[in-house]
Amino acid sequence: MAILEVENLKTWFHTRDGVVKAVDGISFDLAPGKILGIVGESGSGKSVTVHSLMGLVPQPPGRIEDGSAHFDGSDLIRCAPRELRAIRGKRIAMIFQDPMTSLNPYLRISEQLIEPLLIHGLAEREQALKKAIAMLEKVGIRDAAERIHSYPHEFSGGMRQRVMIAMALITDPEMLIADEPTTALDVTVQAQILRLLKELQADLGVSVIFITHDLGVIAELADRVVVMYRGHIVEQGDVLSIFDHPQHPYTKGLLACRPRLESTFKVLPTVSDYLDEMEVGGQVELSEKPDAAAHIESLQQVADSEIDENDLLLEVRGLQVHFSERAGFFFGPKGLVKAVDGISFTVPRGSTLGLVGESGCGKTTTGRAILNLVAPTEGSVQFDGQEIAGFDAAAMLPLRKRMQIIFQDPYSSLNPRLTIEQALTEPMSVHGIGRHHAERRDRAAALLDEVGLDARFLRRYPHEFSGGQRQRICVARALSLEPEFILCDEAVSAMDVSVQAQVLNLLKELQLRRNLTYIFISHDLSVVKFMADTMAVMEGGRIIEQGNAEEIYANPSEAYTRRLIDAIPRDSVSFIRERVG
Amino acid sequence: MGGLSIIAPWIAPYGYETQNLELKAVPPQLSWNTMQAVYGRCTLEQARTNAEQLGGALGKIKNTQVAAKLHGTIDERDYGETMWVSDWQGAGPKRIEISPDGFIPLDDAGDEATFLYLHSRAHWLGTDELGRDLFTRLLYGGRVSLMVGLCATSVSLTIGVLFGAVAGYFGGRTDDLMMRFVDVLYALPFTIFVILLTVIFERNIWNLFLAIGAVEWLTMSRIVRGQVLSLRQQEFIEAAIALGIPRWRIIWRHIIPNCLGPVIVYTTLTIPVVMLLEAFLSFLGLGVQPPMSSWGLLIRDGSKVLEEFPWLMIFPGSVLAVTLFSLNFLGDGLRDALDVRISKD
Repeated sequence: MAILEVENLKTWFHTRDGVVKAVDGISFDLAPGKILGIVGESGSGKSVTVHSLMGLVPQPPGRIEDGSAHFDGSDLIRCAPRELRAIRGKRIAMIFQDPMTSLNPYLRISEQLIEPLLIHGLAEREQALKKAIAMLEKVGIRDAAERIHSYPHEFSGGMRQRVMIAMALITDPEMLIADEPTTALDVTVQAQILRLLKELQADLGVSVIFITHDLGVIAELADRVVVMYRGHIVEQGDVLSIFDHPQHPYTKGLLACRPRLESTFKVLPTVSDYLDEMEVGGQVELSEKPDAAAHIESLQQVADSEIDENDLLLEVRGLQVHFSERAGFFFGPKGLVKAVDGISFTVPRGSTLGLVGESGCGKTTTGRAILNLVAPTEGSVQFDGQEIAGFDAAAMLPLRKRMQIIFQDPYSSLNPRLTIEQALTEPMSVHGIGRHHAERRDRAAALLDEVGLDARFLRRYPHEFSGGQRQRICVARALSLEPEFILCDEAVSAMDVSVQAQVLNLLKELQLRRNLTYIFISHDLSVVKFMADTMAVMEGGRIIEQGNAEEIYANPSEAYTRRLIDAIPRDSVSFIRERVG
Repeated sequence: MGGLSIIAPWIAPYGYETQNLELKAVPPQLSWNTMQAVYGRCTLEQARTNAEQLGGALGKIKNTQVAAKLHGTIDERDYGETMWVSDWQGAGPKRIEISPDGFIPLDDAGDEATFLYLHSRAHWLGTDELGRDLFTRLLYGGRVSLMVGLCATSVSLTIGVLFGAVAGYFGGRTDDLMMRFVDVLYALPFTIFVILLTVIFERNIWNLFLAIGAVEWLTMSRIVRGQVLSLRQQEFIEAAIALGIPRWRIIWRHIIPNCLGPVIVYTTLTIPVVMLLEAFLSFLGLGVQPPMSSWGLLIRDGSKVLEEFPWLMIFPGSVLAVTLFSLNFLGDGLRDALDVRISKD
């Protein structure tokens, strides 16, 4: 007997440009005490599915056209709002993606935790507080009795997500919906949260729907898997069979595109290597590419470029960046934050240095200091033999051409009011590349072509593009000055795995073609392993381990590095078999 | 751009007003059949047409006193009277009788003669205590008010946006200094500040605009600074720095366009404030001087006699309200038109 039966659910959005069939006739069951994973990329309709169940779809433009969702005798789709409210939050709880924004910053944790108990009349204030403290302890927050009176900003991202979980579970729900609860978190924190969820689920016997774009997470957690693509379920089954014998080409692509520690791909396979999309009479038909297997085979064979270890493009010695916490205008510095505390490394021309570490370890500040976007407090940065630390804007200008940066968030790194053409030609005109505008525009078109976008896109604005396309535009913008060195600051962390694979391939391809040198900053070791030749592990503003990337993976000498490696979701069939038993 | 069409009816009478520059004192009443005598030399036929075009004619004048002020108004009590007039060509005074069909040959009947005819000078919106036509004063007042509204607001917009953008962009100590400067200006009683400005500089209407603008930019700069501080965190600004784009260009091209939304909304809110401010200053004798008017002044005057002559309050008030309403629509329209995310797809 399933706790939730969803049948033929259809949620469509009626927009000005036509009907978007976000969810188009899906059916699945959730067995009691089990974890169901829903996988799919952004826009596949996985979030809309659970939002439909919870009555959270904005109507209009959204409308649930058809279908039913039976939860313990009541149909969640058709029942009255009052009935739904009684179920929602009490018997079905939800955890959201971003722990930073899903807690009210003006209310103490205690107030937010006991609110659901009070609203649903499950407990008096005193009791509720006691229960909240117990719940916080259960989700692994130490000194819960004291910390419960803190405000959300006093907790880190991972801790906030724990609080969110506590809040969701405090009413002893029968079902928990987790909508990408770990996507905004570091891999190490993600591993902790996944473990916690798993334990809690076993402990409390709650049934879970877990939504993610990452099959690796599913492998760690789920009992059953539903794979969604474009509003349809393309495949569903128990976790072992999905990983062992994926049937649908989309699932195969999704499985292959995730960089793995043990894989030897030089170019990552992407979903489009497997999947053929054909539009037949307005319906999109999906089929497997006939030559997929051979093509994937060939990807393993791509050769690496030769790197001359002595030809150093970048040399960093004893770099320190300290921030002072200012108390006010008339007062001196209050305290000192040593974001980067004396690090040294070298990057040979044409190679990639991977800089890994958890949030707050100083890896981003290091990157900013190399580009002189923040002033280094001490130390030297030599670029192509020239000392550049502490250069002012004017002195940096000629070097800006040669050193570029790609940011994490493709949504905030493009000015929304400039067309792609303006965004690409502006740096050229500042640096006097190209004699007149027409020439610059031609170059911009060529750049778009190089990053795999159509030159027609020049006249469009950033909001018309998807995340992956925007990141390509950011790459094109960085390339517009023909740099030798590009700093990729978490350049793929915000992306779906399928899009991530495409962007990683693009970066690698450009490196080979243009002999680019990268520093690749990431918290995800599997990505760094794919990209980097050498690697430096940072913790607390210092480099604790550096050397050849492959060797570090094989034999990490520091416990911290070990932990980072262990945090990567394991999705090998043998692991799953062992887990499921 | 629905905003523009809404203010179109307002634009139309505005052009109309220039022909109506006759601030003649007429009795303070909302009288619909008050007539004004006009006379000129023309043929009988022309005179008849003129009289018709100008809204019909009236009968005889009873009161000869009226003749002294020919361009004044005459009402029913004056019918059947005779009056002395001197025509505009400089001929001596003549005795005329005002007949019901509105024109009387003064010379012998001929091809051409001097006629007196009366045309309706109905005051659509009534007149004020001094007998001035409210409609005319509204139109003229509109010129002043809109000018103050637009000029002072654009002064405040320019200073405020630039000041705020610079303070927000450079941050740190520069920001502290600039914002403390704003605080100091906030603390000054603004009337004294404006009085000082108008005293130091010559007292004319342009300086008034400048003075008001110079006071009103403070809040604008605060708003812009807040916006810029959050924009500053966005990665495209950092990307622009990394691309070596000069600072002024970053501020101008990347920062200011992105904080236009709140700026436009606040601007449309500033305009009414500025208009009322102008009325207040005019009352103190620092702004517009009578007999010139402005909407603010009209409202102020009207509010004093609200019980006796409500129209003096109602009409200027509603005109101001409708204008502000339209400006708000215009603001919304502008914001949407400038927002690339909403326009075309």
